[in-house]
Amino acid sequence: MNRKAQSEMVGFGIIVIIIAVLILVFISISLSNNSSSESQSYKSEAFVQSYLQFTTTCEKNTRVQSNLELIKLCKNSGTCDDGTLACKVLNETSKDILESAWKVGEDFPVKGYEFSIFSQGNPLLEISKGNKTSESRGSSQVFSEELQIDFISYY
Amino acid sequence: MVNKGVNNRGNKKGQVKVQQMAFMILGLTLFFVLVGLFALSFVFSGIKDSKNLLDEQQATLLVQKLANSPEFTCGTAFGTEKTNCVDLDKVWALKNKIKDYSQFWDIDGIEILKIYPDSTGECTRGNFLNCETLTVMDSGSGVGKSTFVSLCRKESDGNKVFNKCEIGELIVRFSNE
Repeated sequence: MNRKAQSEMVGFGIIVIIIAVLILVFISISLSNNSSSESQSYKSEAFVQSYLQFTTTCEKNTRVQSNLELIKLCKNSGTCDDGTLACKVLNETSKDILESAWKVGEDFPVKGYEFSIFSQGNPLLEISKGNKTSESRGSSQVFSEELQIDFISYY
Repeated sequence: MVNKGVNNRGNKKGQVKVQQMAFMILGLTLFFVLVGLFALSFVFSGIKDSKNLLDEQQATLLVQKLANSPEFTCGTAFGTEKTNCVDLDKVWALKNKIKDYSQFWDIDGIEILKIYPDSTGECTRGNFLNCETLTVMDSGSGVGKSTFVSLCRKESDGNKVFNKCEIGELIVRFSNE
């Protein structure tokens, strides 16, 4: 009688262990899916497009430059008509635009962001603020002359 | 008499066994139900997140559709064709004729907010170049959905006319229904 009860207990224990392992596997799969949940965001895409169209203070050959033109000028280590380095203007303008457009912090839905411009795979400009979280939404736009602009916001 | 006693003891033992099995089945069912609920809560939390994301994307797409409509879009007025570009001169014309458009879009309100460069105050004809908010269609209520747009206009420095684009947000208010 005792032996039978003992074997029943062992059986029950094995069932509990198997189910616990299954739950752990299920949780680990769910969490690993969440951690890489970077999805395309139309808002980020719209931001990058309007960022590129922004008219900067830099003039080249008496023509005001948009951010996209400024990026190309910076890539070629060019200067504005007043002698300022294009990359300096690009860096300052981009920082100011990001500060105004994306409020970051615990009290806001957006916890952080990363903005980067690559030319032929090399970083031309990298700006980040706040914390990186597991939920991110981003936009990556590729232009001719191997120019790539990435923006990722963390929620 | 003795046989009856043995039978009774056997019956009792059987009853205990049946009871044991019943408890075991009950316990296992409860356990599986709890595991099932746990799994379902995980699955449904993912669905809720996806729904929120899709809702946000749908609202943004609707606002983008409006931003790229002939009444707002820059078209080729500022060089090449641009997306998410709002022609501020068109918007002023639209603001003056907004009563004609009250039933045209199924929306409650339209606002344009300048984000960069920083500025303050409601836009009027007098402070058009340096203001923050331009209310195209006044609603006072409704849920606001927004998208980034570039706000472009023609500007002159005395010698030449040039295109000036700033960064703003187009906010569209929908009824709460």
